[in-house]
Amino acid sequence: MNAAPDFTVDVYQNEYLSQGATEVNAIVTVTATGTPMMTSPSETAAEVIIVDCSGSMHVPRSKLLAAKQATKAAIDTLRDGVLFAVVAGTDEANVVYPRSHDLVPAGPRTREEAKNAVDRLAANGGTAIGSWLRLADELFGTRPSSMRHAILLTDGQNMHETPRQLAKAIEAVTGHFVCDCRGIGTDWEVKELRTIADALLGTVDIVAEPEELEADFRAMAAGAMSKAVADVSLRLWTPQGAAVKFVKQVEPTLADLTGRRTEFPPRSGDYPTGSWGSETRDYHVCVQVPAASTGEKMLAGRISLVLPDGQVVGKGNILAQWTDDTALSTRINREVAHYTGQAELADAIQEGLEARKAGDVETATAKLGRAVKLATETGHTDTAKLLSKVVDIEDARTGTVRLKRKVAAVDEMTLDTRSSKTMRVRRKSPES
Amino acid sequence: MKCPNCGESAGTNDRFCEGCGSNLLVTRTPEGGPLGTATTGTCVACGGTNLSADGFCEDCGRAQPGGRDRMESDLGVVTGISDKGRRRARNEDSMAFGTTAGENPTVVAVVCDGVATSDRAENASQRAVDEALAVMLEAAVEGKDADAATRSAVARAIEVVTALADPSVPGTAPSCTYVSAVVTATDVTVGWVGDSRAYWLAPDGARVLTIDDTVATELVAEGMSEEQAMAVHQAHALSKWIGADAGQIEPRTLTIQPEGPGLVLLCSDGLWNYLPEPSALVEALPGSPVDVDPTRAADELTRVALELGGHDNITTVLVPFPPNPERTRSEG
Repeated sequence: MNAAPDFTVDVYQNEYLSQGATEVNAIVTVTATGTPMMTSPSETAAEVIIVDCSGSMHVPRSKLLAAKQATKAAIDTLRDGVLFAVVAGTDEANVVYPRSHDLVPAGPRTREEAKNAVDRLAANGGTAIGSWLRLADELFGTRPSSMRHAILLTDGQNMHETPRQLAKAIEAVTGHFVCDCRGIGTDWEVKELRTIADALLGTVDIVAEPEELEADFRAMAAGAMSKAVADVSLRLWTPQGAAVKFVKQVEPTLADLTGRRTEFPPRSGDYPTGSWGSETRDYHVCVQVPAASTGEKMLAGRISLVLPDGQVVGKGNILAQWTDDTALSTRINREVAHYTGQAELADAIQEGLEARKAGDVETATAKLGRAVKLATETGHTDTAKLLSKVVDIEDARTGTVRLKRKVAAVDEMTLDTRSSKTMRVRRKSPES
Repeated sequence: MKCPNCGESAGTNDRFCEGCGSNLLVTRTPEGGPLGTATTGTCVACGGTNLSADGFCEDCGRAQPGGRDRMESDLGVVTGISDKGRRRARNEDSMAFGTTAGENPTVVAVVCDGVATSDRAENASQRAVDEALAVMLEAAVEGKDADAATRSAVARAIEVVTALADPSVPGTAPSCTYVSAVVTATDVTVGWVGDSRAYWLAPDGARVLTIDDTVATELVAEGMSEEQAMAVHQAHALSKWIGADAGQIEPRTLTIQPEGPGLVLLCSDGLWNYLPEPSALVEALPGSPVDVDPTRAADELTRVALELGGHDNITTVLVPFPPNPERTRSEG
């Protein structure tokens, strides 16, 4: 791709290890720069919008209306020439637009036709999200396109297929397109949508109020339009005898990529990162290396990015240097600490809510209390505010909380979905 | 006569080679120290041959010693190794040496130890050894007095190191120690500033030729017992050094006329801290100081210092006495 952005890699870490230590942590910041939108041929982008049309979308009526408004707004956001389709999802999946089993280029006429078709949508039937994903995948397959993005909106749980069917569908389409997922109302399952979004390298969020949906759809479509290159992988080289403990995206959202590794022999592995525009993302890489004697220095990991054409760009070195100078080895790297704290906060929230749902008051209180403490310490005021709707906070500093007896479903789900959003660490210039 | 550098033939009165421009009267270590990595093509840790351009093994990841981390040089009549050691992040020691051409050469060697608490210490030590060596080789070619040449060399080193100081950053002026030797068939002249040392190593009469310019030795000189002096706060702190903040200083010098063959050793405290006694140094040599291969000897002394902890940069330069121009340099 000639319009591919430039990638730069910066590594933030404390490379000094005490004698015998073997765990190396680093935050890897990947920045893509360039003005891709203007230069990349728009034909290579494709968008499928999947709208839940199950019967419950009528209750309240405003949900379906809002979904229609939002879908039309997203259609208007598509650049001329972008291939698109609209899918209505029930216990089966149907192409709403175009009439054929196909994608069509966006233009004044097709946009108008698509919006008319969306206006005629009716809500009737069940929910089988796996079949929706499979249809989107088929549609993407009808035309060659390099940047494939889907928006999935649902209001309910996946009732009309088994979890296994959904899992198989996710597996079948993983790597084929990026999918941002939105839940409207409070009858959907956060975990279910998060699983889909994580697998398809997209985001998940709750849209509590139907009227907020339009702006959100427009933003997602605009985001997809701003991408310049799809299917970028993060390549991690590690030395002989080393083990990768984890590779997580930690900014803008938390996503564990550890299990998504594709081996690139002899000593590298590739982790999918999806599509990139001009943007910055942070990754937390943790590598276990064989200990070496004091004074020795080694390359514990090397990060680069692999473009779809196989071109390898950018380079960042993760180092390990053993010292008996404790002033060096105990120095805490602020980037690593920042994102370790964020991941811990997200885990505490998700595990706390899970325990609460399961009726385990003790664990829920402990986890959510820990979350309150962490959110307070790290200045996550938004998260602290969301937490205060789920627990009564007695002392934020120590994390002393009591579970609220009554919690609005929307508050709990908002806290859950937003727990994986992260705050960027405030940066100084990179250390050497 | 032929240029030792490029093989081009040269006239007996030529001072410089017409082919490559190198000085025909002297041979010396390259100015500025080594460039790039000093790797031999195989990994120091796993023996693999897949080394990356930025100095790591592509198999085991081990950082390969590069540039200043381990400097080795051998001119036959003088040989030296300067090693980063195991604890320091950088090698701030520098060494330079050279010899005049001919049957009866004068060998000159300099070791400077960059003061770790100063800014750009390795810069200071490298500039100091290069310039001091040039002054003494020039004097040797012209047959000047070794003691006077040593004093001129130190004066020049003070000049170039002082020039490195950034007046806007007080207190961190680049600085270093200094020890040099001028070795002829009859005389060994040493000069020093600070705590880098010169030793005479021989089967009989091995001894330290220098007296450290440290707080402790000054107190001993004033009458305090060695034990008491060593217990003083900052006993090892330098009382004299080369740098913009050093004030007006003069080196101390000493000339000896050894009665038999031996080795002149110049070293930084990274070596002598582990082996301060002359007898211990002689014992650590892989042979008699009379006929041991100096390259093997420097390698062995460095290895011992590393094994004992390698807390500081280790620089070891050996000049066999009397100079033997027949000894060819070892390869690698």
